[in-house]
Amino acid sequence: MVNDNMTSEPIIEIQNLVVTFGEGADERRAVSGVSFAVHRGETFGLVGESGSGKSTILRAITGLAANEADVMRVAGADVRTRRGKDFYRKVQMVFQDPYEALHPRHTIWRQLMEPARIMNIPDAEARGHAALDSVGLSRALLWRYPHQLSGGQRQRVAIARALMSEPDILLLDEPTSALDVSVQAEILNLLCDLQDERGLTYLMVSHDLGVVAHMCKRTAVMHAGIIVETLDVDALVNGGATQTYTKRLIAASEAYGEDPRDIAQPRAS
Amino acid sequence: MDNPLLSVRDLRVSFHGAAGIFDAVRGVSFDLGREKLGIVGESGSGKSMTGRAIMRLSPPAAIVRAEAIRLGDIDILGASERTMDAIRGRRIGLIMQDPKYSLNPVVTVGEQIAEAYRIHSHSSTSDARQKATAMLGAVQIRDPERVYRMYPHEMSGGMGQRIMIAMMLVSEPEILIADEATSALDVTVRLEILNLLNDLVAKRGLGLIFISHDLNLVRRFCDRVLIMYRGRVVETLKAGELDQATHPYTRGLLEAMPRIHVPRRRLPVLKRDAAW
Amino acid sequence: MSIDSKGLTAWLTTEEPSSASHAAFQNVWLVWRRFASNPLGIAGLMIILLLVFVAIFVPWLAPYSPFEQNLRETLVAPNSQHLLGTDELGRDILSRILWGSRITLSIVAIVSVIVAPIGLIVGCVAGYYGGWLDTVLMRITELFLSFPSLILALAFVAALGPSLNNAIIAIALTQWPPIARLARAESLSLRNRDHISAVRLMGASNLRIVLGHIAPLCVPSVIVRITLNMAGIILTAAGLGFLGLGAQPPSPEWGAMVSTGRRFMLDSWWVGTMPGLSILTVSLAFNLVGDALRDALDPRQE
Repeated sequence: MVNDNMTSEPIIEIQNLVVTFGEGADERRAVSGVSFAVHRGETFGLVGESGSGKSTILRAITGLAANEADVMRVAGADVRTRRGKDFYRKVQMVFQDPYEALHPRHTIWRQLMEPARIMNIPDAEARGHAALDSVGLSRALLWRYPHQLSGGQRQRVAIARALMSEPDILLLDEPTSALDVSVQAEILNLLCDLQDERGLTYLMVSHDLGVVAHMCKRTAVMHAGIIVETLDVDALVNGGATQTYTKRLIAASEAYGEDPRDIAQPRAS
Repeated sequence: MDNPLLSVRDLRVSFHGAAGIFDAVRGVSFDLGREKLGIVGESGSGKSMTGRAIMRLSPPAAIVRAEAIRLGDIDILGASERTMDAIRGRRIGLIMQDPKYSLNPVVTVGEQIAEAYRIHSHSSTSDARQKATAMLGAVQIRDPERVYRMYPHEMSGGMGQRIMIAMMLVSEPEILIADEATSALDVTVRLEILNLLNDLVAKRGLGLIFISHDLNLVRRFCDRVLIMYRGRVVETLKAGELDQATHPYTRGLLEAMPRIHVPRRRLPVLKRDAAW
Repeated sequence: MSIDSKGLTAWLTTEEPSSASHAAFQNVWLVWRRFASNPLGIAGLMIILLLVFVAIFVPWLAPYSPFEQNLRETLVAPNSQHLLGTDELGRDILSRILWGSRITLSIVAIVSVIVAPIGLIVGCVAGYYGGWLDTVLMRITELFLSFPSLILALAFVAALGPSLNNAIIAIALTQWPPIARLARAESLSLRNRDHISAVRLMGASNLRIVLGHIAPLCVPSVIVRITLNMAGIILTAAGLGFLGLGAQPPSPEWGAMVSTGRRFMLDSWWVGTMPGLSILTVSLAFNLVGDALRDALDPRQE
């Protein structure tokens, strides 16, 4: 699956994407001329610090942020002008803060049924149960409200909701940065499992090099609205970065991050 | 430990709510010397509540009990509000996650630092101004004169955190409590702030309590680490010996973290034990 | 908690509700529990419930007819026959106040029914769509807001002719703008929230988002605001009645009764004071309930 990635047609292809916020004197370019391609079934990372424009790219793809691009093809369709219901069936997003991303006064079941109603999904109930099962949520939680769930459970609900339309692509906007480390591990595992089961393509935004290194095959490093470089994660972590900014980012992540020495021989516990 | 700066014995914090009694902290004891002491835990572990209790800044609904919380010869639990006012900010400084909530939005940051110094030292306005400017320099702010006249909303996250540190240090406290002080910062900025804290602790002989959820960061930055889970300290270790942690919770946390250099298909998931 | 209510309490507080309606009941129960923990709110609620009770059963409660004149017993001080005395035409004041509760309550109900949907829709549409629609709707709103509400109501009633129905319409016209402003502010903060983005990513139409997702989330604060405004509504109605532009004699509207009482203030204090106290009590009750509701409905308490 992974090997023929490079030869196949990319499922997301973006060239010279520009996103501008504000008008006149306040005009500010959040993303200025970004190009990349993501292949079917892979996890592509967008790494950068706050304000680098990485999340804005996801919002631009979905149409939540107004944008211009030379090429923006997603799942075989040109999405520069209009995104039909078909687009939203194929592309779904998982947000950073799962509490913010769920309707505060809808039950879990209603959160799942809402996309089914809007997109006229057949067998909504069966799919809802299947989605809950595949994210590992008990049916006992069906009638609870988001505030009655833990952070990890909320994020599972958000993922289940995104799965309702059986999408090809999931846009992951820092899906674990609001969660505890132990819960993060569960969610990352879940994302990997779902990818294996359903052949999903992930475009994942994160500030955490550890998470990106764990999840992604390739990643783009972003800084101040542009992609500094795009490289294999293997190269990224093994000193293959060529740009100063990337090196600085890695050095800073490692300085007070994991210690490469004691990790070199993982302890058998 | 001989002559600890701060000594906490059997600290308990509980809340009485509609759903019954909730114990946020269940018997925490530790001594703090002139060192960087890390308190690590996940959300709900009681790490922040511990920090607040030391400053007697617990929420009004909280019931705080302890065998002793001693700062030098002062019994913090028994101290009057006046004594506490003299301790907070002057003998114990607190740096929180978001400096925006801790700074007065309508006063320039320089004046706020100068004010903190004046209260502490009863010095003249011009002295305080000089001291504040010097302090801004000490936390490695370029062009302190200009920053002195800036308002909190003009600060970036890293700069705001430097201001907070400068403000806390100007009254020369013995102890600094940093509660997730670097969690909202980008890695490159975090690195600078940590280096700054490191220097200051070394130079001034402060005791630093560094509260964080980030086990990697704490093990690299601190001298000693307390690992908290559901209100208890499950393990105390020298930071360098965290690898030899024996408690299953600590081990589980270490295992669950994605590692840059050790690719794994699946991350081991922490199994929680009700007995912890 | 008695043993009988144990099963119900357990059903209302279980961690695992079994259906959508079960969950909804639990939610109501939770709000009620928070509301009930506020004694002032409960006191206010009791007064309002009493008002409703009186309004329903007034034919059986009132000792006399509100219109029946007895010119031999005019301006009688409160005594055992006339608990609150009689007015200048010998009508029993207690009976008139009791009958007046129907008028007060219907003013409050009709105004809320008119005002809440208008304010909510105008505010949500303006806040969610933004742009020129927002500008136009908000300028209209501000036009209404720029007059003191009593003056505006006066102008409307003067134009429409004095009557209770016109007074109600006039009050409604003055009461929707603050609701619209509130709903707009809430919508503005809601529209960029992630859960709204998530619905947009399902391809939902703007109409669906406004009506199905934004407006329902604004409802709690609108309810609170309207409850707090009830006092103002009652006072405006009373004011119009006092000025002779609301309910017309001989209808026992409290404001109009105060107005008549003014003439006998020095000699027969009870004629104006008793309806005045009624206005005060009911306004206060609505304010107390509004405050308690605000605390009970605030999701931040959870």
